[in-house]
Amino acid sequence: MSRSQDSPHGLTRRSFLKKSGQIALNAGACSAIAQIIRIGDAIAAIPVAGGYLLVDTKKCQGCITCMLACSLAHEGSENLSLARIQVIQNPFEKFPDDLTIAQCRQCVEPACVQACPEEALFVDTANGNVRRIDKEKCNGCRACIEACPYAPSRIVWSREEALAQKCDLCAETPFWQQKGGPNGKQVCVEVCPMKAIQFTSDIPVQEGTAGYQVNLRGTEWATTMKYSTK
Amino acid sequence: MNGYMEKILRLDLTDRKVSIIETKAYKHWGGGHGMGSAIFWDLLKNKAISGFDPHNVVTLMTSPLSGTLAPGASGRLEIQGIGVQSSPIEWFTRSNIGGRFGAMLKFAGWDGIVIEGRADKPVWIDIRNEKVTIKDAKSLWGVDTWKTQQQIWREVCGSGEKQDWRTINGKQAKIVTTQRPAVLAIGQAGENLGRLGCIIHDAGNACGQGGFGGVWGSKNLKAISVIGDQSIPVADPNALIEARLWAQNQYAMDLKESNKSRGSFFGPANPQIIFWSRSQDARPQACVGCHAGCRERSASGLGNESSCLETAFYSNYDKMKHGRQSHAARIATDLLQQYGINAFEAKNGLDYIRDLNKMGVLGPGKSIACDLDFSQLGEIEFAEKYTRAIAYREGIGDDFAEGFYRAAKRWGRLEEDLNTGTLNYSYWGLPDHGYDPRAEVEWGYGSILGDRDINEHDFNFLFWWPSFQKWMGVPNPQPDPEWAVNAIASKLLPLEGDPLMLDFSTPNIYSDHIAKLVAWHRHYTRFWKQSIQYCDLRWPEFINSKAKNGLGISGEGEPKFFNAVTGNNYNFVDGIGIGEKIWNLDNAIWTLQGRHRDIVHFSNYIYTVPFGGFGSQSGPPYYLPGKENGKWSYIRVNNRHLDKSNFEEWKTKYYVFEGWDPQTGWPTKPKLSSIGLEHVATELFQNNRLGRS
Amino acid sequence: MTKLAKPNKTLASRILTEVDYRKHITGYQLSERGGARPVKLYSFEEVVNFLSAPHPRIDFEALLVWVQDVMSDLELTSKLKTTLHQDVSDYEKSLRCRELMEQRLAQSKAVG
Repeated sequence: MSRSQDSPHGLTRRSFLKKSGQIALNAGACSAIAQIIRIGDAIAAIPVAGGYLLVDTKKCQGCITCMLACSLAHEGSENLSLARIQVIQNPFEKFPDDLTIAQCRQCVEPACVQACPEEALFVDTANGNVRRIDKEKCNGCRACIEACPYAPSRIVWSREEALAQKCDLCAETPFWQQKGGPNGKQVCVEVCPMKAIQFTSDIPVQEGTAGYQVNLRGTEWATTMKYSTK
Repeated sequence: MNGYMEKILRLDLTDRKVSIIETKAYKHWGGGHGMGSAIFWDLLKNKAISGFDPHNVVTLMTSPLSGTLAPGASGRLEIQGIGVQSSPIEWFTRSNIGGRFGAMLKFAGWDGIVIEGRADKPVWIDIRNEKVTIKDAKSLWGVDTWKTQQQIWREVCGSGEKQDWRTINGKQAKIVTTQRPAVLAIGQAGENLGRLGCIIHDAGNACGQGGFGGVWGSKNLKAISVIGDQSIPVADPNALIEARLWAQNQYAMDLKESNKSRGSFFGPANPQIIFWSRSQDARPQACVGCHAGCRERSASGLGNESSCLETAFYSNYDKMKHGRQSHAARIATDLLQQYGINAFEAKNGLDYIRDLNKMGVLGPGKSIACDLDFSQLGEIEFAEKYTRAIAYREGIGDDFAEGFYRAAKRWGRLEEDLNTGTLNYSYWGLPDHGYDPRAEVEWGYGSILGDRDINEHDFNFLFWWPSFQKWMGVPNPQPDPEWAVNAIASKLLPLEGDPLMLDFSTPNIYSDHIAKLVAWHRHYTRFWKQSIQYCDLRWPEFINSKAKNGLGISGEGEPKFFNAVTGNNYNFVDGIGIGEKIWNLDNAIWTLQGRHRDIVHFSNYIYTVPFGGFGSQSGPPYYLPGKENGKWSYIRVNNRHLDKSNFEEWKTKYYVFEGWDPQTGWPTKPKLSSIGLEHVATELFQNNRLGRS
Repeated sequence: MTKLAKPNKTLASRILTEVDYRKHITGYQLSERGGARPVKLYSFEEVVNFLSAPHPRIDFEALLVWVQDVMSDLELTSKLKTTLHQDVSDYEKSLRCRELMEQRLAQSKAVG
């Protein structure tokens, strides 16, 4: 089944997967999902996440406020190396190649979850199936970091704690009192001055970057900011 | 207090010694400028030396807000020391640089850097968390600032082409990061001891004023690189995040309805302060943590991160030559950045020598020999020759590199050109900013009472809004002037409630009210902006039509973020008080350097030539609030000059207000004692420089 | 837009020639962050280009005097005077002055 075709049930593949995840959630059984969603393309036997971060790398002003907010909300301090979203820049490069944003994709097939030998990486069914790390269980083996197919790895290594951590869509932010997770707010989305980060509950296209790097520039980007919206 | 990393790096380049100053000894100064002035005071016994003297102490100080979520306060770094640009005295001065160096210095575990001495050979400083190494810079000397930074990146963390996590291994420090080192570098202009030499960071951040590039060159210091992965402690993270969101919700400009947030400095804002024709294929670009970036990176890659005057350097000449904006403007600016040349002087100087060329006194075979071909002004080749001449002191470039005030003196033209204003260098041998002392007095007065062009735009919207609206044919510019001055006056704590502080009419510009305005301005900027690092482009915000009662974030905003990070309980006025203390300390330093009220004077043209020309040719309508016949309005303030004797009297009022000796302008013992600076009074007394009370 | 009569060679030549230092005219470039920066203009074309920049400010009376006395272009002076007496904003006046001067510049270039 191609990504753009509807399933026999008249749903898009994405919404089908989403509903499958929801059914599985309600059923409370991962094995139920494995059966339901093994249709057509091979699908991971893991419930899909209830939320994703999309970014517009052309809208980003490189202020790294998202990184500062992320570490602050999760760690209670400012530390770029502990931010679970990374913005990497080269001031001498030409736009738009001067900047990339590396956000966790909450993959439909999370290699990190599958790689973890301690089950520290888990799907948090209480928080919209966000892919998270249980610090208590993490033994610092870094298998998840190696397994993440993206560079930079979306799993963040805490050198001081010798543990891994990752974006949880702010499901657990001990230092920010707003409700987070897929049903709440994400601090990076809230603080971004350019509104270059957006939360969505629709599953992005998994192949390549087009699903996660989107155009968030409205008409005012051209009329007020005088920049191209292309 | 949180927000600090508890140690300041002290570098003795002569003995190649690395040591630590504990931040706690200086925390009561806040950070940035306050700490820099205090450290300078303590470490340099003889303050009356040249900026090129190896004993000169240069400080680079962050603030507790550096590297945090505080909007428009996270990315900047204050640099101080004895500069080499001003005249007749090389004043102890300041500059400031944006980007990410200040934040990265904190992430490496440092609140600042103090540089003393002179290395026997060119060196660069490699900071990786606590690991600090003084390295040989032979391969970097003679290299431009961009290539220098990229070479250092390669040395510290590999080629950097692959965007991935890097583990940077120092012997004692392992760092895990995706970020590149933040580097400050001088170019050939600084290496050749140019007084126009500046310090460059990334593509377009500059520590422009003061000639610190030349100072570093005299110390054989090529660059400082820093990378770190440490945590900056924040007292109340939730409060800081919520404060950021509060500022955004209450004060931020709404892109969709930007006219409903007039006065908002909380972006995104357009235009960026760019003076060349802009490209659509670009992104806005911001310093760390800023809520409204003021620069760009473009698809051409030309002019990346340059802003404001940097972009005005060559843009007019380019347009004049080509009939439209070409790449020449951006390439010329990039040359300034690469060579590390002060854009302000480069632009003003270029305008000046063009005038001299038109006069027939400067050019090939002229009385001032100069082989620049002015028929090519506007072309890339001309910009290349001009900037190269400054950087390498080639031919007449040797004069240019001294700054155009000194150049004019060498050419025997100084007195004449200062009399006419042909050389519009109005204070301390430095170029006028454009907020002419004859019109917008708080700018000029603050500059001449200090060490440099203040470059603090706090009140300029009072000129820009009515001047722009009047030009557009709006008969009654908004906001209403009486409302505006009262609104602003309500925020000038602890001197609040005196709207005559903002009356720029001629009868009032020599008044006690203006003395209060200038004093408030110096105190506010010394602490909240130059010490705590709230960026001049976005702070203060007095008026915002989106906000409650139309009042901007200032007064509440500054302490809100500061306290959330530090855990302190400062109010706005606490900061003003520390700012007053810092300003007094600075005046004490200048006093020891030779300041006396008799030399505190503008260039002659300020007293004799009306701003905008003579007679009916009164130049551009430049409006500011003024009270005339009991009524507030936006009045024209051009077509006037300052009156020297009135200005003398005003200085007396100002000195009295500050508690300084009106005979000399020197600080007094009662004043210094009242603000905890008895030791400063002692040193002044020992040097016969204590003001009489 | 008002049409100007085609200039003769003498006038066209003056329009296209740089003036002596003493005969320059000063404009002011206003900007929010840069205040009012004087710009000395040494030719008719420079004045036209200056008026094309964002926020150009020029003393209109001074401009009239310059066009009359330095350029000796009486027709243009008269047309500018008429324009400047219209009840429009300074911004609009700048635009209209620029248009007239652009026309004269183009005419002069065509005359060669």
